[in-house]
Amino acid sequence: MADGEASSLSQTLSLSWRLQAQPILFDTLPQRAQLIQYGELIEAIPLPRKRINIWRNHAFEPILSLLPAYSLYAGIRYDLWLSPYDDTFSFTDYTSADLECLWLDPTRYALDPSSFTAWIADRIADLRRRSSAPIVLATWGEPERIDSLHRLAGQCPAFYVADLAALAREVHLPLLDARNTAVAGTPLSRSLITLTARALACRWWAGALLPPIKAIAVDLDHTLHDGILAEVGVERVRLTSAHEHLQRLLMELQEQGILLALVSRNEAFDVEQLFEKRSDYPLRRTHFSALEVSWGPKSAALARIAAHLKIGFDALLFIDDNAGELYEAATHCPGIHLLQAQEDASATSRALANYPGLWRWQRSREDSLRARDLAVQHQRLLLQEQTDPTAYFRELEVVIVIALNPISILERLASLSTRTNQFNLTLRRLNAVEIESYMRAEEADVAAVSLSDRLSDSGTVGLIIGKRSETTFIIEELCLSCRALGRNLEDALILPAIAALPSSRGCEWLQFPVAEGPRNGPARSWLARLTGATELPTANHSIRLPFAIAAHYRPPEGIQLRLESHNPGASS
Amino acid sequence: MTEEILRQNLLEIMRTVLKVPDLSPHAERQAVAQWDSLRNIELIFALEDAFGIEFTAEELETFTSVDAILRILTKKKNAA
Repeated sequence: MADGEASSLSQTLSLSWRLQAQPILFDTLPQRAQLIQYGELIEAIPLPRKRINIWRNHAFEPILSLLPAYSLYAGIRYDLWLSPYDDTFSFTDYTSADLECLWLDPTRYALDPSSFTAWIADRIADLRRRSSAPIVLATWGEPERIDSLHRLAGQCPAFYVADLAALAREVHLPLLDARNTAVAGTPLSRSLITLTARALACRWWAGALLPPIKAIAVDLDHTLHDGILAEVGVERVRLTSAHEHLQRLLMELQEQGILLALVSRNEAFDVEQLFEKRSDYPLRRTHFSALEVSWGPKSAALARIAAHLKIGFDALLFIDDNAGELYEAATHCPGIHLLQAQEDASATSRALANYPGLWRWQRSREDSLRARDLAVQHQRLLLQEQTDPTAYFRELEVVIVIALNPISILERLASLSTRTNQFNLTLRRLNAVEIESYMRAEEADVAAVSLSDRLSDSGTVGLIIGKRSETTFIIEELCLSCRALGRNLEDALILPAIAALPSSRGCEWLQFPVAEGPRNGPARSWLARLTGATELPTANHSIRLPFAIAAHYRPPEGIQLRLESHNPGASS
Repeated sequence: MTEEILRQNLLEIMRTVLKVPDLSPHAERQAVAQWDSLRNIELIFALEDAFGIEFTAEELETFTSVDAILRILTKKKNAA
């Protein structure tokens, strides 16, 4: 099963299982026997598989039986390989994996924080020589030690620190239990072992392996407040403290770049009045990038929301208290993520905070720019309709910046490669480590393309990787964020960047390898137009053009182009 | 909770954790192949979760049969 199918979980696993499992899996303290029971289906359900190497110096076994239930919910099967106990973390008998997890008890070392971090840095470098997969270090320690590890993670692409002490603080549970070292081979407390299993499967591993959820469509009545607006009126719907907390959580997610949409069966006037008059609601009308208030089917509203936000259903999470609405959405919106709002809104918050694919290791600057960029889209379209192309670009004050080998934004570039579906020519899904290796290679270069205009800054919207082979320059990776599409800027974003890549100098030919995916028609259409072909290039095609097509390209009048060069060797 | 209900609850958890659906109500650990040391840890944690208790190291040494565990549970429930 392909990776992309992971998000179509509701097609594979019955929604009824998910609705029953949700309160059990995301309880304040889930019960081990129930989790084992809910995980029993794992052998019967075909799921995409990811191999994870567990490198450890204390027991991981108490976690194992808790993972299947969360794996089923996340729509991914974690195939685990457990190393022998090894305090030296020497990574012997290495076999490649999709993710490396270091399960490390720090109490077994008498090193000060700085020596400990230096030793970890050495171990990560050693593992990195064998693996380009994301590395998750699950450990704990005093704040100084953890801060030092986080600083190290900031310098190492695709290396993340999962802090078990922070998890213990978040849930107000003890981190350690001295009894368990003898009983279970790990000093972690029983409760924290359970919650760590949930965090690994739903946050830490999922955050590195699953496609991200980009937007949340949320119901109003009995979800964001208690009561039915149309029945009791604006003043009498109840904002409980749990509902207020849920609204604040949604606001936090919105601030991190998750788009919010409201989908409600109500009168539009009532909903507008609600947000105007209820000053106690943390969420305001302006937090929502889309508002769908009608008496029509919610699946149709969700389809309009996805189109407006330019995302697929597999990047959209729909929250509603009504199981019937969730079933209707599952039937008509294939791949959509579904969460049932609970009567106790704190249970909804817990499930939301742990929903697989929503929690990410990093949010980029571009994530936080997304809502603003979307909000001005309508103004751009109006301007486009009212003016000729030259006046349109000049009036918008379009600026394109091409950054060569910008090592400081590796995670953003990896995010473009792994998250872009529509304008992605090769679908290679490169991670930060793989992109970095292109930056450091003599015969290859990486361009990051940023776009801004007077209405908004879209941030880094393009990634182009080229590699020289004799007199041919091969485009190994080419993707543009959907935020850059529909502005007639594709050529201006791509061709000058290709021509600017230093390793392309002297090349006579330009070669575009093409992969055919379910949604990358826009990228293939662009290439077809560039070549003058009438049909879209298909899988395993490699289109060859004279390099002059990039070298001689000049952007339309009114567009400013700037070039920034970086030296990847300098920051190593 | 009567002893019989307690036994039923205990058996249900043991059958799930040990993955022995037909575990006898008076089973001895040495007669159940699946009741190995790893599953025993699982069982300890699952029972502590379900009954809201903590076993002492001494109590864990007597985890040798369904009846023995039931005696510990009864004692702890009565003491609560």
